[in-house]
Amino acid sequence: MTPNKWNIPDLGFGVGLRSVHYDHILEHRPPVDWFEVISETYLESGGRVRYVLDRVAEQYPIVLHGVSLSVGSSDPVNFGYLKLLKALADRVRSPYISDHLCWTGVNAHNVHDLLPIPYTEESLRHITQKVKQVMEFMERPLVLENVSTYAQFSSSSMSEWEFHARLMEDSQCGMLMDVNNIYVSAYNHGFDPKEFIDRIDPALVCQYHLAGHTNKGTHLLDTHNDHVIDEVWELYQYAYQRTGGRNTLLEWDEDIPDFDVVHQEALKAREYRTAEQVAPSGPRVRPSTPPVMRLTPLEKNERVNSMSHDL
Amino acid sequence: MKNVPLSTLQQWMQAVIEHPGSTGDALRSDEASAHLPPDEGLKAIVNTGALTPAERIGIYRKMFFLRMTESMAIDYPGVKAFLGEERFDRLIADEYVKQYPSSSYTLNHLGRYFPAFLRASALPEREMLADLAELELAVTNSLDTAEMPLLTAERIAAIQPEGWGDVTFVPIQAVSLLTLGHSVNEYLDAVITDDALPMIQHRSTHILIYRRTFRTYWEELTPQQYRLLSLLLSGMRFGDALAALADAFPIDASMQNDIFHWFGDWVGKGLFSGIHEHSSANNHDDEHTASTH
Repeated sequence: MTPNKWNIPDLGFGVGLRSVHYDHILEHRPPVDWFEVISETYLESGGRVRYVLDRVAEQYPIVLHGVSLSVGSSDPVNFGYLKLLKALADRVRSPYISDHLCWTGVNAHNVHDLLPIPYTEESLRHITQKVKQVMEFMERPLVLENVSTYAQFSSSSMSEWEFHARLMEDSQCGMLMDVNNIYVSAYNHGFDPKEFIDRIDPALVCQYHLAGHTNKGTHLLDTHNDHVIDEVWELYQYAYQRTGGRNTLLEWDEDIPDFDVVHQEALKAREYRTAEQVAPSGPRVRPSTPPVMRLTPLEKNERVNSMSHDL
Repeated sequence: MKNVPLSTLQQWMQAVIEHPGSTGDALRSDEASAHLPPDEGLKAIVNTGALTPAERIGIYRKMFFLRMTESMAIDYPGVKAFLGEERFDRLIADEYVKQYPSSSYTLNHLGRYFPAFLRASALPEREMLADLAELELAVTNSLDTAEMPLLTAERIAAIQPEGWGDVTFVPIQAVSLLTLGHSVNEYLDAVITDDALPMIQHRSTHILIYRRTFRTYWEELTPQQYRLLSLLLSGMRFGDALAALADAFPIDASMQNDIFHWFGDWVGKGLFSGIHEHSSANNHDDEHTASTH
């Protein structure tokens, strides 16, 4: 096992906290190792979402995962946003914060998507500077996730993994390795997903993400709407063998099934941490119909994390 | 293509993503062309695999408009029900997000200008739709306000009879009042409960919106109820509020009884968080008893 550079403890197998599961979690207190929450949902909320978050934080470790840091944008760092984020991180005692190596808008717009960046020297210098500013302000490690992409830029002068590696070296941020995103982008752009993993220093990987996706034939969409496919589990096992104990989290953001289904899917990761042979997938459970929830507008920010399978 | 500055590339891509219509329209739009000409823009995207550059950026465009319309539909189910899905989606995609693009870290703020947008629009039903949107925005806003402790019956019982005229009430944050020109509350009720949609009447309508145990409710008030409650929520002393109510409406014995019941109902609904008791002998700001918490 390779320890991570920041000595972030291995929290185990986590699940993304989603509003459709609030009642179940508060009532049943399921034995989940930790929860990841979409930061933007909770930054200024004072109603039910705050109540639930505080109750969950009393009982479980929580890590904040953002979708609006926009560290890859040519816009400057939004310190107003960071101030809210820091207060929330302090409140739930998030040991580090994570977001995405992407941009979400320029000229103060937010298109609420995780957009690809050109892998150029200019981008690297700009993002390195912003990452340093963010970490200095937040006073805790920043961990950036590789995103699923559907377009690459002709101006890129290096690969995605080289850009990640150099950014981490120059800025001292960590990596949230989303194995499903590597698989999706590899399919969409025709590269070897294992090469991506091989080229990342395992000491800089702080966390893993796993999720389902949708195969549209010509391309894959990172929809977070289904079970993790076997090929992604195998890729997780391949990556995990290089790093050893790292926080692992399952994301499910669309057609969200009952909590136990999501939790069981997350716990499958145990098999891939130890098994020599790839264990078979469990039975597929048909997602239940999500309850009608007019009362909390949460799903909006959570859905920024993924694409719709309706596309 | 080499050496397109990061800011140029991102402004171009954002302009293409945000432009309504087809991807071709977006690539040829003035907003996108201001940063990269159409042919140069397409060359900025790597052309490999099963998708063309236009199809690749088209994925982001489709997702953008889907996210915007879905987000607005969550906050404005009533407006969507009235307009129908196609007309609602077109209004959001073609006009609203162009006029009011998101500038917030959260999609929860996207719809905050929708009532004003509707009122200023050319839609024939704009006044009624703006009223409906006002109500829906108030409902949405109530969801995120801070939870507060509630005024208890015991605390009210502790007020001496001679002190009632000088008490003021501290409202919870999740309470608001609206006066609208249409009976949109009944329409929204039907949308939420999936009942047959009623005709929306053109009449002055006073609506109370409040949250209790994390659920938001709305109900119509009489003009008298609205007058008294709005004065109490504004912090006016109870006695002064009754006097102001009497100036506007005759208060007979029956209405005195009604007021007693209204007030009990409002306390029961949890509209107040605390009480301040003031001394009538002193200045109105001289509070001598703190609130309940």
